[in-house]
Amino acid sequence: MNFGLDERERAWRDEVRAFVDSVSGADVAGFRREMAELDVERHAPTFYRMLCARGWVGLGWPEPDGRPVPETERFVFHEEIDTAGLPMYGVEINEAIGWMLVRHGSDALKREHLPRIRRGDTWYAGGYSEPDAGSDLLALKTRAVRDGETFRVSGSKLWTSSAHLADFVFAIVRTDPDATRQRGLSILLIDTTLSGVEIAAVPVMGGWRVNQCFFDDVVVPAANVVGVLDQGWAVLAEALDVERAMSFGGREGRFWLTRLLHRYEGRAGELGDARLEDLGALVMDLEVERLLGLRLAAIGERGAIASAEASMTKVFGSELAQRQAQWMADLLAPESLFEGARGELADDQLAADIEEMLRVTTVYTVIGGTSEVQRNTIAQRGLGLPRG
Amino acid sequence: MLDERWSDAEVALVDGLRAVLVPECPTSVVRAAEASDDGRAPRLEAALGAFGLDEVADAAEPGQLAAAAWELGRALAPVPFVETATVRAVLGIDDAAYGLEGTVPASVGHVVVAGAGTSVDGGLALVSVDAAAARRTTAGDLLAPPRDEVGTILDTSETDRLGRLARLLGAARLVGASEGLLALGIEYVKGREQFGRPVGAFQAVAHRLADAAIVSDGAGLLVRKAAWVAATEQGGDGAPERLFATMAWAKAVEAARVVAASVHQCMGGYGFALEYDCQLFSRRMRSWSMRLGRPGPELASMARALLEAPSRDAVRHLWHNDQGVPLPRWAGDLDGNRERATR
Repeated sequence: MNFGLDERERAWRDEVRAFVDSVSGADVAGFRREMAELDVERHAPTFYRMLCARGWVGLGWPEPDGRPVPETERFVFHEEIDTAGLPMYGVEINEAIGWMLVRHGSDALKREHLPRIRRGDTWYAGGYSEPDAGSDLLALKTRAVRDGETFRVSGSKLWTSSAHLADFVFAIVRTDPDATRQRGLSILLIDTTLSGVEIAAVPVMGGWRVNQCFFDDVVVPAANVVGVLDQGWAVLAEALDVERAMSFGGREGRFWLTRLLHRYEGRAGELGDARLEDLGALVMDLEVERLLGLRLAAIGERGAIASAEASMTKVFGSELAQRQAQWMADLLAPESLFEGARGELADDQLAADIEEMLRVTTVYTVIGGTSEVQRNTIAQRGLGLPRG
Repeated sequence: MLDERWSDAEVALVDGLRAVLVPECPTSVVRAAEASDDGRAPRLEAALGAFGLDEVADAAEPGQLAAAAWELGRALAPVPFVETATVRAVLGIDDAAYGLEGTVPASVGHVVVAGAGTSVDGGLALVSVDAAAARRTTAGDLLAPPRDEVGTILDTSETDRLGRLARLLGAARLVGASEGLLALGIEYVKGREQFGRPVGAFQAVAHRLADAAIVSDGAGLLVRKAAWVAATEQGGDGAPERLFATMAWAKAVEAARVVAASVHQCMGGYGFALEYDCQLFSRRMRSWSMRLGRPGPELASMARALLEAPSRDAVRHLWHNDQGVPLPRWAGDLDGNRERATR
């Protein structure tokens, strides 16, 4: 039983925290302008490259492609950054796809892509969902037909975050038309500059765009298959496990509540008993969320599979984020009624951020696997209940 | 390395306790104790005495105390360990129950109470238990009030530590019982068939149990962290700091109530029938949850402490922080404008 950091982990935490403390309000204002201009969620290339400069992208990857660190140190790193409200989504997506290349990519793909991910000059998007394949991802219809040393890809991917910036879409496609469900699927890295690729904006409530990617007979080199041909589902299942272990508002919630605690310092009397009880319960639930995430990291460190524990963390964190955003918006009303101009600072920055979070957290129980799918995973893999 | 599991010492204790509880405390023993006049299980008491439960209390190691309470809770053991170990660990007094919030198990000779019997306001005293005034709770155990007598005046500086340890052990007992009941519910829905398939295959049932598992696991993790924080190695005084005592207790109460309601719903009429063990768990979990008063005001008081700079900055081990709840620099820069404007 150890809920504290050892000497090495502490030194690492202090190094990350020193970086976090070096980020000023003006820096964050710059990141936010950048995100607004790029019309993207939590991705600022300037911030990404600040991490690259320190060698902090590709943490946990083996040498020579990355920097091998234990799982718990990755946890500490992400925790420090997320709880400081810094824009990590772009890093997480690139790293998740990089990790799949580390695990399953050919040597040529690793040589081509991993240095670019660690430099921060190439962006990747995950192409999984389709118009008719959401939670039932295996209903996907995008096809890749073998043609010599290439595949011809036709179909469409939906909800692809940051595809409009991406150089490559990491897409799951059907390569064996006669196989069904998880058989006969493959992962292809598709260059977005290829002829036949079209990317259309899908504006969302968060204030940015996601995308629909259309592939019309796009010719992709067969060398861009990640992993074994027709066995892409195994790769994707891993990618989804990585995605579920990301924070969907749970860690960021500590950051919002820290700001609130400082805002209301010395003003408990203004809140009243009912709100104080709620506030105490939020502090408690954020501690629980942290412990669920810590357990996930510790299990990973021990080399075990933690599917149910990952789903528990995701469900709890994302649902907590929604409750917390609503509670804080209520408290900060009427300021929290007004939507600020994206990328610009507000007079009441906390209220403006919470107004945004009330919109943004709406999707946290949907992206990365819906709460319903996560609960199926908990029930089947964690509790051992039969499939429905 | 971070590790959310019990340490070796607790694992050994848990294994040893289970080796006693599995044969000596099946639910038939719980039922027999409930049906008896004094609510006790003499053979189990003797077995636990031989195992060395008193020595565990004397050692006053918070992880081991919590692990023992957890396992006893899982087995619904009709013994007053939580109440007596708290007093034994903090004050070194034998056969006395923690009773600062009210009545105590009638089988214990003495009770530690606040105020009563002392001339000092907020004082602490040891008085005898008025066993003749014992009443049976819905959980089937007998609780009795303190006798109206002067008693022995105790060191008031231990009042706070007693309350904090009582909360940790009470939380551990609830989490153990929650886990026991959840396991029972899971087994039931795997075997019970309706509409031609196990009811556990229906999402409406499975999701309810998934939610119960999340809150039960969360409460268990919080109990373990609270025990870790309490240890002298972390600078604790053998009981969790107030903040962790409050959180562990409040979450365990919530977990117990969610698990009880969920498993009952999944077991349908069988859960309501006395013949099945579900009710043995749920009646105790609900009763134990009310023993220390409603957690809400304690959560409010925790929030008040976090809203005053000196007490907020003194808090240890909350979330990812070693001490206090520091604000990242940039947020101070941007939130500061408004702060000045509204003052």
